[in-house]
Amino acid sequence: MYTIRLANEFLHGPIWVYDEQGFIRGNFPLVTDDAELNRLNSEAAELHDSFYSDDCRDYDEAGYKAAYPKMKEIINKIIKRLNEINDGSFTIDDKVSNKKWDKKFGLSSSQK
Amino acid sequence: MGGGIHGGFGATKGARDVAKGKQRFNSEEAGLIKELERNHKKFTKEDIVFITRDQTGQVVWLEKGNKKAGLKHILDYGNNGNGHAGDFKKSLGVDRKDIPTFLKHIITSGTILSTSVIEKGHIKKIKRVYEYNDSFVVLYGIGENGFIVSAYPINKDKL
Repeated sequence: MYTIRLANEFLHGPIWVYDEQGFIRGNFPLVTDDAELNRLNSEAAELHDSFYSDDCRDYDEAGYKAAYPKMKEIINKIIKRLNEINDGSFTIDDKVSNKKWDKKFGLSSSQK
Repeated sequence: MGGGIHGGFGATKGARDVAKGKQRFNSEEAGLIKELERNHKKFTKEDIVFITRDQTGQVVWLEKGNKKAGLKHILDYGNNGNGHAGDFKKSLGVDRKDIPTFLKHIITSGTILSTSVIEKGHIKKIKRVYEYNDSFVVLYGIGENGFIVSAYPINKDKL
């Protein structure tokens, strides 16, 4: 079974596909060809990367934390869409959601 | 197919010295550091893990970094705290200690498959994909200044 890991990374976006052996995959059409997921992945990537400094050496952690509710909203949409298309071939591993921050901002947990 | 880079990537003396905290640069590297200084690039000399010129002529360098950028990010903090050391080992067979030497080798000698420049306002970020072997490539995220933010292996089927 594949694992769709949600984890932010510079210039990548949160959606990562891992196969049964743990290899990173790029072509998993059910997920990678889904227009809605691609749009949401780009949206999350832009938000995450917007907190890098001009020279990319520093990251505005406080700014990201302040924007976390927006990131959480995008992540929840991604998880919702993943659940809609899941034919039983993958599980979701959400590394972006932060329980402490969810509590602080009064946000709902991910819909797994 | 298979015009990629193969072979061992054992740590060089320079890399071992870097690991021990003893920075040393050969004359070429020292020249590149001077080039950074001349061009008023922000860098921390004592934290440079390697510096090289890529095949486009750009000077690129990796620093020890932090959670969000540089070697620490690549090894332990990228991918939301998972790091990519496991991905390099799993996908490419590169041990954690050899990752800096491997990355330098790819940048210096590897074949660039694609370069994307992502512009947001006045900020430019560069995504560069290097050939590795029949199955995998290595993707670098680099600031416009040449500072390496992240690097990770990607299956070729993504391209």
